[in-house]
Amino acid sequence: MRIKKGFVLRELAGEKIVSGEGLEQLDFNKIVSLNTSAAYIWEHISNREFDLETMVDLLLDRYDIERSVALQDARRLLDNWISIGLVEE
Amino acid sequence: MKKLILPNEILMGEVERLLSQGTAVTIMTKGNSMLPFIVGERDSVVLKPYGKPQVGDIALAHLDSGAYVLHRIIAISDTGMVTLMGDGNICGTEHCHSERLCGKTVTVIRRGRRYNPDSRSWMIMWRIWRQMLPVRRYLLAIYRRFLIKFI
Repeated sequence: MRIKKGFVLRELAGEKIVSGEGLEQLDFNKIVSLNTSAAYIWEHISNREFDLETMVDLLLDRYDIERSVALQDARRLLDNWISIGLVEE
Repeated sequence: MKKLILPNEILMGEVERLLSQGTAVTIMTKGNSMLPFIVGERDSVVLKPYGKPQVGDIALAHLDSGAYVLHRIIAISDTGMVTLMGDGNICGTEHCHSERLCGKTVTVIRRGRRYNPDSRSWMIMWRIWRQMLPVRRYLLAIYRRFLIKFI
């Protein structure tokens, strides 16, 4: 799967936010704010194919956590991104 | 849905930049200065980059003081100086050059419904509202007290 085209991550007032810039419209009522680890994952997968395993590996590379914990966090994040339409198969 | 509050100067700077590169921007409004046409913290507006400004436009202006206002254009001089006034204000105007207009309101989203402020009905309502300026204070009080819940 991939991040849908047109979504950009940037920093605004110290917050990492994802918006639909590049599309002709930007609705500030519909922006997604990411925490540090979510932003870290986003930065590493935004221009390529990825899956749940890619996300888990990224978390394990950076954080000293159990694989089961990483898996749980990655799953939750991915489900959220899919449900709000940031990701396409 | 979580609400992310951004400092005004940062958000508006970003909005101005996006508009200048041709992107239409939707933002939530703040304040009561455009009542009854726009209710702050309830209604959103869609802004588009400016073409030719006209009296009656609801414009986002970056004033020389640095402040941003979303107010109605009530006059434009031959030299391109624009006078703005909030529909919900009783007195007080702002002035800036037309080059300082960042965006024009093309849609007002009131309670989830979209309205075109250039439509005939909105312009008629605004002309009537403008004529009522001497009694605007009382009309606003009635609106805020009784009508804001419904319209």
